[in-house]
Amino acid sequence: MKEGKLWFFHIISGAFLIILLGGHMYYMHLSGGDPLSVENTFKRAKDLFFPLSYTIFVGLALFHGLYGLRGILFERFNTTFSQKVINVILILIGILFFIYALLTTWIPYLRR
Amino acid sequence: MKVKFKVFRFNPSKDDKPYYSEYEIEVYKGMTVLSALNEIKEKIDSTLSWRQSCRMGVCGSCAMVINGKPSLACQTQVLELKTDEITIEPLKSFPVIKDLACDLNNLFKHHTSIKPYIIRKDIEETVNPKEEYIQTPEELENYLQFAYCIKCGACISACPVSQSNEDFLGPQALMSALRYIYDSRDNGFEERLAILDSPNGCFRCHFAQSCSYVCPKGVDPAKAIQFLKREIVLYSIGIKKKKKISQLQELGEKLKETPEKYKYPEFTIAKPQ
Repeated sequence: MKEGKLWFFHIISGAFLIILLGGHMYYMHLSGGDPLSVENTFKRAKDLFFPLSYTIFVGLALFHGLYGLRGILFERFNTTFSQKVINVILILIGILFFIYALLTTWIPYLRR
Repeated sequence: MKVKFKVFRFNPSKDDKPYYSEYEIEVYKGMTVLSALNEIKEKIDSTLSWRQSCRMGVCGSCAMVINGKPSLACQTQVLELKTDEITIEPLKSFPVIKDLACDLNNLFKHHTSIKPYIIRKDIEETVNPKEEYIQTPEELENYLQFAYCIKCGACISACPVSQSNEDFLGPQALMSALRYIYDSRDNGFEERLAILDSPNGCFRCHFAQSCSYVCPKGVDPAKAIQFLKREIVLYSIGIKKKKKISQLQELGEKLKETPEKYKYPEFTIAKPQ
């Protein structure tokens, strides 16, 4: 994918992350109650909204963060070969973390 | 008033590492840093080297780092620096040839890579021009400020990305690309896209804006790069408006229409016999 598209998604993901982090901030820290209690954690795991929003959240956060890291690494290692290696490594890291996140969010929902 | 000039010295063929030479000279109102360097070379140290040409901020040859800021030596008044010690160094991001003279090959390599000329589909007219392209004053205004660049390299010297990555196109080349993309006579956006949308293209810019801060011609490369990003993103997601390209106008058409309006003025001196 060309840089223009990647950069555009980086900006868009940043904007969505602000909204999702706002939601997280409200639910986990400002809405009162005890969101970390076992009862509430199980309740969230059984509600489709939460694994779905966590999936979107982790996807956007991984893309946003890894694209930023890629920019830093590209400045340090700027040959075409090293940039290709960085791309492959970061894509693999992204996929691995995304799969891990999917397992941790969807398994409890599917076992409800 | 006496001012001390601390000048960067380095001769790669002779010196192991750079050092600074100090010179103290009497300065006067209106004296530029370039005049001071010339005076040092004439009266104190003839081995000092730098590049200069026009002495009036047009050629861009005398760009150097003066008290930490990339500037044109010919446009920097010594007394306006308001200090009795002035440090002069070569432009950063470029290899030193000798003392204050840098090798600007990288600047011109990047500048050439963005195809800094009018690109059109009508090849025959481009190669053998017979007519002229219509351009309104408004269309000229679109790119005029970006055409003021004198390629001095001050923006590249100030750019934090260019300093860490010499393959980054840099503010000068990116701004020049926009200058041609915004030119109504040009139709080469897609041809330039491959280099502008590459990993070392405009999306590596951090928008530090130091290029615009130091530009001695008041050009705003940082703004140009943001416009360039917008153009490329709109094109990438398929919502870029189609550009209206200037059409050809027969040479002298206006003259035929209203010849009296465009006639030559009367001679103000006697015609030679």
